[in-house]
Amino acid sequence: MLSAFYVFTLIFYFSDFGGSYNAALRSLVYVLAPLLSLTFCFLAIRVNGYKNPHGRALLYFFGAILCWAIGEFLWTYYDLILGIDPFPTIADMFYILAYPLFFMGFMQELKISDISFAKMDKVLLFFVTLFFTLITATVFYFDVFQAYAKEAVLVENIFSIGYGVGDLIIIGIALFLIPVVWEYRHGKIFIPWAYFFVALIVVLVADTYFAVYEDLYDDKIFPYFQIADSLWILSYIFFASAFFSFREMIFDVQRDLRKKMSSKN
Amino acid sequence: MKETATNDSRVKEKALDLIALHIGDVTAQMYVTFYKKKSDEFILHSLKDLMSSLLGKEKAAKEIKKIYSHK
Repeated sequence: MLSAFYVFTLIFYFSDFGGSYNAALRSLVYVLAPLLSLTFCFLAIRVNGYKNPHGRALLYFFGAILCWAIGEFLWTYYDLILGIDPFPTIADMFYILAYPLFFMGFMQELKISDISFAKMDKVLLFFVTLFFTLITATVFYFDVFQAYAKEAVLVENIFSIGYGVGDLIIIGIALFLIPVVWEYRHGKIFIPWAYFFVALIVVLVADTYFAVYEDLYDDKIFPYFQIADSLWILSYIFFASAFFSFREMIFDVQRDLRKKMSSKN
Repeated sequence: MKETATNDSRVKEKALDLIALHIGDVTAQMYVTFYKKKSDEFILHSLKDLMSSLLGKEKAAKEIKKIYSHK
Protein backbone atom coordinates (compact mmCIF):
# COMPACT_ATOMS: atom_id res chain seq x y z
CA MET A 1 0.00 0.00 0.00
CA LEU A 2 2.79 2.39 0.94
CA SER A 3 4.69 1.58 -2.24
CA ALA A 4 1.54 2.18 -4.31
CA PHE A 5 1.05 5.52 -2.56
CA TYR A 6 4.58 6.53 -3.51
CA VAL A 7 4.10 5.43 -7.11
CA PHE A 8 1.05 7.73 -7.31
CA THR A 9 3.13 10.49 -5.73
CA LEU A 10 5.75 10.18 -8.47
CA ILE A 11 3.06 10.11 -11.17
CA PHE A 12 1.35 13.25 -9.83
CA TYR A 13 4.63 15.10 -9.41
CA PHE A 14 6.53 14.13 -12.55
CA SER A 15 3.70 14.05 -15.07
CA ASP A 16 0.71 16.18 -15.91
CA PHE A 17 -1.71 13.56 -14.61
CA GLY A 18 -5.02 15.13 -13.75
CA GLY A 19 -4.53 18.14 -16.00
CA SER A 20 -5.88 21.22 -14.23
CA TYR A 21 -6.31 19.17 -11.05
CA ASN A 22 -2.64 18.15 -10.98
CA ALA A 23 -1.66 20.81 -8.43
CA ALA A 24 -4.53 19.72 -6.18
CA LEU A 25 -3.56 16.04 -6.52
CA ARG A 26 0.05 16.88 -5.64
CA SER A 27 -1.08 18.82 -2.58
CA LEU A 28 -3.33 15.93 -1.58
CA VAL A 29 -0.51 13.37 -1.51
CA TYR A 30 1.74 15.94 0.17
CA VAL A 31 -0.70 16.26 3.06
CA LEU A 32 -1.73 12.58 3.11
CA ALA A 33 1.86 11.32 3.48
CA PRO A 34 2.38 12.59 7.07
CA LEU A 35 -1.16 11.46 7.93
CA LEU A 36 -0.20 7.93 6.86
CA SER A 37 2.82 8.05 9.17
CA LEU A 38 0.66 9.34 12.00
CA THR A 39 -1.90 6.58 11.49
CA PHE A 40 0.69 3.80 11.64
CA CYS A 41 2.41 5.43 14.61
CA PHE A 42 -0.90 5.59 16.46
CA LEU A 43 -1.59 1.92 15.67
CA ALA A 44 1.89 1.00 16.92
CA ILE A 45 1.27 2.89 20.19
CA ARG A 46 -2.05 1.11 20.59
CA VAL A 47 -0.56 -2.35 20.26
CA ASN A 48 2.57 -1.59 22.30
CA GLY A 49 1.17 0.64 24.99
CA TYR A 50 2.91 3.82 26.11
CA LYS A 51 4.19 2.97 29.60
CA ASN A 52 7.51 1.55 28.41
CA PRO A 53 10.43 3.41 26.79
CA HIS A 54 9.44 2.22 23.27
CA GLY A 55 5.91 3.47 23.88
CA ARG A 56 7.06 6.84 25.23
CA ALA A 57 9.44 7.18 22.27
CA LEU A 58 6.52 6.47 19.92
CA LEU A 59 4.47 9.18 21.66
CA TYR A 60 7.22 11.73 21.05
CA PHE A 61 7.61 10.59 17.42
CA PHE A 62 3.86 10.90 17.01
CA GLY A 63 4.08 14.45 18.35
CA ALA A 64 6.96 15.25 16.00
CA ILE A 65 5.20 13.96 12.89
CA LEU A 66 1.97 15.64 13.98
CA CYS A 67 3.87 18.96 14.03
CA TRP A 68 5.15 18.25 10.51
CA ALA A 69 1.64 17.27 9.37
CA ILE A 70 0.24 20.55 10.70
CA GLY A 71 3.13 22.39 9.07
CA GLU A 72 2.48 20.68 5.70
CA PHE A 73 -1.22 21.45 5.90
CA LEU A 74 -0.60 25.12 6.75
CA TRP A 75 2.11 25.43 4.07
CA THR A 76 -0.24 23.98 1.46
CA TYR A 77 -3.09 26.23 2.64
CA TYR A 78 -0.96 29.38 2.37
CA ASP A 79 0.59 28.35 -0.95
CA LEU A 80 -2.31 26.75 -2.84
CA ILE A 81 -5.44 28.31 -1.30
CA LEU A 82 -4.31 31.78 -0.24
CA GLY A 83 -1.60 32.08 -2.90
CA ILE A 84 0.86 33.75 -0.51
CA ASP A 85 4.48 32.92 0.32
CA PRO A 86 4.27 30.38 3.14
CA PHE A 87 7.66 31.47 4.54
CA PRO A 88 7.94 32.66 7.23
CA THR A 89 4.63 31.71 8.84
CA ILE A 90 3.32 29.67 11.73
CA ALA A 91 3.88 26.58 9.54
CA ASP A 92 7.61 27.00 10.12
CA MET A 93 7.12 26.99 13.89
CA PHE A 94 5.45 23.59 13.66
CA TYR A 95 8.16 22.25 11.32
CA ILE A 96 10.93 23.31 13.70
CA LEU A 97 9.12 22.11 16.84
CA ALA A 98 9.29 18.55 15.47
CA TYR A 99 13.08 18.35 15.76
CA PRO A 100 13.35 18.54 19.58
CA LEU A 101 10.43 16.10 19.82
CA PHE A 102 12.37 13.60 17.69
CA PHE A 103 15.35 14.15 19.98
CA MET A 104 13.30 13.51 23.14
CA GLY A 105 11.80 10.37 21.60
CA PHE A 106 15.23 9.04 20.81
CA MET A 107 16.40 9.78 24.38
CA GLN A 108 13.67 7.40 25.57
CA GLU A 109 15.08 4.66 23.37
CA LEU A 110 18.57 5.25 24.68
CA LYS A 111 17.35 4.27 28.18
CA ILE A 112 17.09 0.63 27.09
CA SER A 113 19.89 0.55 24.56
CA ASP A 114 23.42 -0.31 25.36
CA ILE A 115 25.12 1.97 22.90
CA SER A 116 28.71 1.30 22.20
CA PHE A 117 30.50 2.35 19.05
CA ALA A 118 33.41 0.21 20.26
CA LYS A 119 31.41 -2.98 19.65
CA MET A 120 30.97 -2.19 15.98
CA ASP A 121 33.13 -3.56 13.22
CA LYS A 122 36.12 -1.18 12.86
CA VAL A 123 35.91 -0.88 9.06
CA LEU A 124 32.19 -0.12 9.27
CA LEU A 125 32.89 2.39 12.03
CA PHE A 126 35.46 4.14 9.82
CA PHE A 127 33.01 4.54 6.94
CA VAL A 128 30.23 5.64 9.31
CA THR A 129 32.53 8.32 10.75
CA LEU A 130 33.52 9.48 7.27
CA PHE A 131 29.93 9.53 6.08
CA PHE A 132 28.68 11.52 9.04
CA THR A 133 31.56 13.97 8.90
CA LEU A 134 30.66 14.69 5.27
CA ILE A 135 26.95 14.98 6.04
CA THR A 136 27.54 17.29 8.99
CA ALA A 137 29.85 19.53 6.96
CA THR A 138 27.37 19.65 4.06
CA VAL A 139 24.36 20.34 6.27
CA PHE A 140 26.22 22.95 8.31
CA TYR A 141 27.35 24.76 5.18
CA PHE A 142 24.09 24.74 3.23
CA ASP A 143 21.48 24.60 6.01
CA VAL A 144 23.08 26.84 8.63
CA PHE A 145 25.88 28.97 7.18
CA GLN A 146 24.24 29.68 3.78
CA ALA A 147 20.81 30.01 5.38
CA TYR A 148 21.70 33.40 6.84
CA ALA A 149 20.80 36.29 4.54
CA LYS A 150 21.86 39.85 5.45
CA GLU A 151 18.96 41.39 3.55
CA ALA A 152 16.32 39.14 5.20
CA VAL A 153 14.32 40.17 8.27
CA LEU A 154 15.25 38.73 11.66
CA VAL A 155 12.34 36.25 11.77
CA GLU A 156 13.30 34.81 8.39
CA ASN A 157 16.88 34.29 9.48
CA ILE A 158 15.81 32.73 12.79
CA PHE A 159 13.59 30.24 11.00
CA SER A 160 16.14 29.53 8.26
CA ILE A 161 18.92 28.82 10.75
CA GLY A 162 16.44 26.98 12.96
CA TYR A 163 15.90 24.47 10.17
CA GLY A 164 19.64 23.99 9.89
CA VAL A 165 20.01 23.43 13.62
CA GLY A 166 17.11 20.99 13.44
CA ASP A 167 18.93 19.06 10.73
CA LEU A 168 22.05 18.91 12.91
CA ILE A 169 19.83 17.37 15.63
CA ILE A 170 18.62 14.81 13.08
CA ILE A 171 22.23 14.01 12.20
CA GLY A 172 22.99 13.43 15.89
CA ILE A 173 20.02 11.10 16.25
CA ALA A 174 20.91 9.21 13.06
CA LEU A 175 24.52 8.85 14.18
CA PHE A 176 23.63 7.42 17.59
CA LEU A 177 20.96 5.26 16.01
CA ILE A 178 23.62 3.31 14.14
CA PRO A 179 24.98 1.39 17.16
CA VAL A 180 21.37 0.82 18.29
CA VAL A 181 20.45 -0.66 14.91
CA TRP A 182 23.76 -2.58 14.90
CA GLU A 183 22.97 -4.05 18.30
CA TYR A 184 19.60 -5.34 17.09
CA ARG A 185 20.86 -6.52 13.70
CA HIS A 186 20.05 -10.22 14.28
CA GLY A 187 16.58 -9.57 15.71
CA LYS A 188 13.22 -8.62 14.23
CA ILE A 189 13.34 -5.20 15.87
CA PHE A 190 16.17 -4.36 13.45
CA ILE A 191 13.67 -3.81 10.61
CA PRO A 192 11.63 -0.95 12.17
CA TRP A 193 14.80 0.78 13.35
CA ALA A 194 16.41 0.40 9.93
CA TYR A 195 13.37 2.01 8.29
CA PHE A 196 13.46 4.81 10.87
CA PHE A 197 17.16 5.44 10.20
CA VAL A 198 16.58 5.59 6.44
CA ALA A 199 13.66 7.98 7.02
CA LEU A 200 15.97 10.34 8.93
CA ILE A 201 18.60 10.22 6.18
CA VAL A 202 15.97 10.98 3.52
CA VAL A 203 14.78 13.97 5.62
CA LEU A 204 18.37 15.26 5.70
CA VAL A 205 18.81 14.80 1.95
CA ALA A 206 15.48 16.54 1.26
CA ASP A 207 16.20 19.45 3.60
CA THR A 208 19.70 19.98 2.20
CA TYR A 209 18.46 19.72 -1.39
CA PHE A 210 15.84 22.36 -0.56
CA ALA A 211 18.46 24.59 1.06
CA VAL A 212 20.65 24.39 -2.05
CA TYR A 213 17.84 24.97 -4.58
CA GLU A 214 15.44 27.04 -2.50
CA ASP A 215 14.87 29.76 -5.09
CA LEU A 216 14.16 27.23 -7.84
CA TYR A 217 11.83 25.35 -5.46
CA ASP A 218 9.93 28.55 -4.59
CA ASP A 219 9.42 29.25 -8.31
CA LYS A 220 8.30 25.61 -8.78
CA ILE A 221 10.91 25.02 -11.46
CA PHE A 222 11.03 21.44 -12.82
CA PRO A 223 12.55 19.16 -11.50
CA TYR A 224 13.75 20.92 -8.30
CA PHE A 225 10.31 21.37 -6.79
CA GLN A 226 9.31 17.81 -7.70
CA ILE A 227 12.48 16.22 -6.34
CA ALA A 228 12.31 18.05 -2.99
CA ASP A 229 8.65 17.27 -2.37
CA SER A 230 8.94 13.65 -3.46
CA LEU A 231 11.92 13.19 -1.12
CA TRP A 232 9.96 14.59 1.84
CA ILE A 233 7.05 12.35 0.97
CA LEU A 234 9.46 9.40 0.74
CA SER A 235 10.68 10.13 4.28
CA TYR A 236 7.08 9.90 5.53
CA ILE A 237 6.70 6.57 3.72
CA PHE A 238 9.77 5.26 5.52
CA PHE A 239 8.50 6.53 8.88
CA ALA A 240 5.16 4.82 8.19
CA SER A 241 7.04 1.61 7.27
CA ALA A 242 8.97 1.77 10.55
CA PHE A 243 5.80 2.07 12.64
CA PHE A 244 3.96 -0.53 10.56
CA SER A 245 6.75 -3.11 10.89
CA PHE A 246 7.07 -2.46 14.64
CA ARG A 247 3.35 -3.06 15.04
CA GLU A 248 3.48 -6.20 12.88
CA MET A 249 6.36 -7.55 14.98
CA ILE A 250 4.27 -7.25 18.15
CA PHE A 251 1.17 -8.66 16.42
CA ASP A 252 3.20 -11.71 15.37
CA VAL A 253 4.24 -12.32 18.98
CA GLN A 254 0.66 -11.98 20.19
CA ARG A 255 -0.64 -14.27 17.43
CA ASP A 256 1.96 -16.97 18.23
CA LEU A 257 1.14 -16.72 21.92
CA ARG A 258 -2.58 -17.14 21.29
CA LYS A 259 -1.84 -20.25 19.21
CA LYS A 260 0.29 -21.72 22.00
CA MET A 261 -2.36 -20.98 24.61
CA SER A 262 -5.20 -22.45 22.55
CA SER A 263 -3.20 -25.59 21.67
CA LYS A 264 -2.62 -26.23 25.39
CA ASN A 265 -6.37 -25.97 25.93
CA MET B 1 4.35 -4.93 35.90
CA LYS B 2 1.07 -5.81 37.58
CA GLU B 3 1.23 -9.38 38.83
CA THR B 4 -2.00 -11.32 38.85
CA ALA B 5 -0.74 -14.92 38.89
CA THR B 6 -0.90 -17.05 42.00
CA ASN B 7 2.82 -17.86 42.40
CA ASP B 8 5.27 -15.08 43.09
CA SER B 9 8.41 -16.21 41.28
CA ARG B 10 10.96 -13.42 41.00
CA VAL B 11 12.03 -14.94 37.69
CA LYS B 12 8.51 -14.62 36.31
CA GLU B 13 8.24 -11.04 37.56
CA LYS B 14 11.54 -10.08 35.90
CA ALA B 15 10.61 -11.94 32.72
CA LEU B 16 7.33 -10.05 32.47
CA ASP B 17 9.11 -6.76 33.14
CA LEU B 18 11.50 -7.53 30.29
CA ILE B 19 8.64 -8.36 27.93
CA ALA B 20 6.81 -5.16 28.90
CA LEU B 21 10.02 -3.17 28.38
CA HIS B 22 10.56 -4.39 24.83
CA ILE B 23 7.11 -5.10 23.41
CA GLY B 24 4.72 -3.33 25.73
CA ASP B 25 2.22 -3.89 28.51
CA VAL B 26 -0.49 -5.40 26.31
CA THR B 27 1.69 -8.35 25.28
CA ALA B 28 3.18 -8.65 28.75
CA GLN B 29 -0.32 -9.03 30.21
CA MET B 30 -0.94 -11.91 27.79
CA TYR B 31 2.22 -13.56 29.07
CA VAL B 32 0.95 -13.26 32.66
CA THR B 33 -1.75 -15.76 31.66
CA PHE B 34 0.63 -17.90 29.63
CA TYR B 35 3.17 -18.15 32.47
CA LYS B 36 0.59 -19.07 35.08
CA LYS B 37 1.70 -22.18 36.99
CA LYS B 38 4.78 -22.54 34.79
CA SER B 39 8.20 -23.42 36.20
CA ASP B 40 11.11 -20.97 36.19
CA GLU B 41 12.89 -23.21 33.67
CA PHE B 42 9.95 -23.07 31.27
CA ILE B 43 9.67 -19.31 31.69
CA LEU B 44 13.36 -18.73 31.02
CA HIS B 45 13.33 -21.02 28.00
CA SER B 46 10.26 -19.28 26.56
CA LEU B 47 11.74 -15.87 27.28
CA LYS B 48 15.03 -16.80 25.65
CA ASP B 49 13.22 -17.88 22.45
CA LEU B 50 11.11 -14.71 22.43
CA MET B 51 13.93 -12.27 23.11
CA SER B 52 16.32 -14.00 20.71
CA SER B 53 13.82 -13.65 17.89
CA LEU B 54 13.11 -10.00 18.72
CA LEU B 55 16.52 -8.67 19.73
CA GLY B 56 19.00 -11.21 18.36
CA LYS B 57 20.78 -13.87 20.43
CA GLU B 58 23.57 -11.66 21.77
CA LYS B 59 21.34 -8.86 23.02
CA ALA B 60 18.77 -11.34 24.34
CA ALA B 61 21.46 -13.17 26.32
CA LYS B 62 22.55 -9.88 27.90
CA GLU B 63 19.00 -9.01 28.89
CA ILE B 64 18.23 -12.44 30.29
CA LYS B 65 21.46 -12.49 32.30
CA LYS B 66 19.91 -9.75 34.45
CA ILE B 67 17.11 -12.15 35.35
CA TYR B 68 19.49 -14.93 36.36
CA SER B 69 21.14 -12.59 38.83
CA HIS B 70 17.76 -12.09 40.53
CA LYS B 71 16.87 -15.82 40.78
